[in-house]
Amino acid sequence: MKLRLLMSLKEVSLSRTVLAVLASAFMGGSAYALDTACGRNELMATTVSVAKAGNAAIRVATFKTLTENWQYSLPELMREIEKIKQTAASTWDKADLEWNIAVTSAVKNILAAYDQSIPLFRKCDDDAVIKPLVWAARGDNRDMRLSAANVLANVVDNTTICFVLHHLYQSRPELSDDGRANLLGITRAMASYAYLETTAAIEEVIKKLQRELGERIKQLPQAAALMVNILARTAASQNRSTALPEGLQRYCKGYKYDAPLAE
Amino acid sequence: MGKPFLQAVSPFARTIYDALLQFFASSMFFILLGIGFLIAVFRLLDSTHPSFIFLLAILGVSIVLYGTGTQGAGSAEVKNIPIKVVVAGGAGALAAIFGYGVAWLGKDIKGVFDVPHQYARVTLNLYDEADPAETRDKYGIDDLRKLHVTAVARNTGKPLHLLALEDHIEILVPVTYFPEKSIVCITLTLPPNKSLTGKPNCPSLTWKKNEGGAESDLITHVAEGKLPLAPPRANRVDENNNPVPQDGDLFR
Repeated sequence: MKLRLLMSLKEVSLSRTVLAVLASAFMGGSAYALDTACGRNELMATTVSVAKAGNAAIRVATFKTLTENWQYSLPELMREIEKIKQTAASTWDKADLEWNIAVTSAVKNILAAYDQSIPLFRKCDDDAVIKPLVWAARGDNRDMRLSAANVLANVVDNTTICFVLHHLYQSRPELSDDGRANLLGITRAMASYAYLETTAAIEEVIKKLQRELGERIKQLPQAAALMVNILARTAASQNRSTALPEGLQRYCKGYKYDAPLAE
Repeated sequence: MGKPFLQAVSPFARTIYDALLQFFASSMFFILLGIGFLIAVFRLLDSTHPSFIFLLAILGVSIVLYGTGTQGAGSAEVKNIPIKVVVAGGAGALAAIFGYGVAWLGKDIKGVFDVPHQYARVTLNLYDEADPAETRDKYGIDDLRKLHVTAVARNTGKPLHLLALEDHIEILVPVTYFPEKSIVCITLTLPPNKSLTGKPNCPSLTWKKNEGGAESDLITHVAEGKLPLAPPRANRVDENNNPVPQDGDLFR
């Protein structure tokens, strides 16, 4: 009985997908083209699941479709990013690692290629998307680090920078030199328009980092240069005397940087 | 008018004037002038119509010949044995060489007067054959037909015909006398204006002769290389969509 129910559910799901594809084909894609909001897009969600289940060739073809239709696929890809485990990449199984790299790379490429994708990402993002990316940007897999750091540098702003600063502020778990450089690079990308609270948080985090690194900072020229650059940018920020506007306060207003990082 | 003027100027100026007159009437001047024409021929070879090149070359050779003279002759007596030496130099010797060359390479020389109708085909590939997936991930491009691609010949700056396919582009380069020295420069843009052109944008090419095949009469040489690609860069904005500093990130 349970099996039959499952099968019928599967059939319903499949026929809905077929209908969606047919509707999209007959209406020139307009059945879904009208929805560029953050809600679930069945056609794109199905394409993502086909990519995830498929072999390398299928993955190439489906990611091509997803990239071409970024206005509709980006929220679905972001939902996949939410599923990335906030643990060291070396502990993931191979399939998960490959999929996470593929998804993050696809989002990185969309953000780089299509300027309007950045506002869409920001419109749809929340802590559930940003937090796994921060862990990945400081993680122990180079491909994941590069893709995640690139994505974050393009989308992190006054509403989400606190998640990055939290990792820089906390000593545990210890940051690798690569991870620290990446998180500082992400911070630099938004430092030029930091508001009052963000500026204060950035300056405090950098002072703490400089104190903790002490003499070792001489062996980390990239991190040292980034810190100087970030402070110069926050000092020049036109927003540095302005309190965080109400619409940007959701996560970073009164953020508790001294709370331990939860994996 | 020249004489009173020269009398008025100092003897030093007179010396210079005489030296100049002497130089412009000397053999060396005509040899250098001829060589100048020949250098001009070499520089213009790739970009100028062959018949004009031919005229310039003939003019250059003629002037050199005028400078060298045509022949030399001499005689001497060594131990009462008269020796007469005739040196066929300058125009005489060169005319003989050219005459022999014309007879020997007559078929090829005919081509000098032809407007070039032959081409080299340059193929530039999108993917690194060793790892296409890496190329795709790095540049985010999987179909060149979506890009605006242009190619120009570096020596002339003239645009070249190209055909963009999914994973490579083919460029037709008019054949010059040294097709292997042809350099093409590429620009790649993701519409409307996102540059994907890497630096340097004139890729190195591996040339070979196009041997066999129906098209070998038209396409005499083929070359292969890799597209000069650079990853696209996001135009970063703040929360109000105002542009912010664009960094060259060095993530690790």
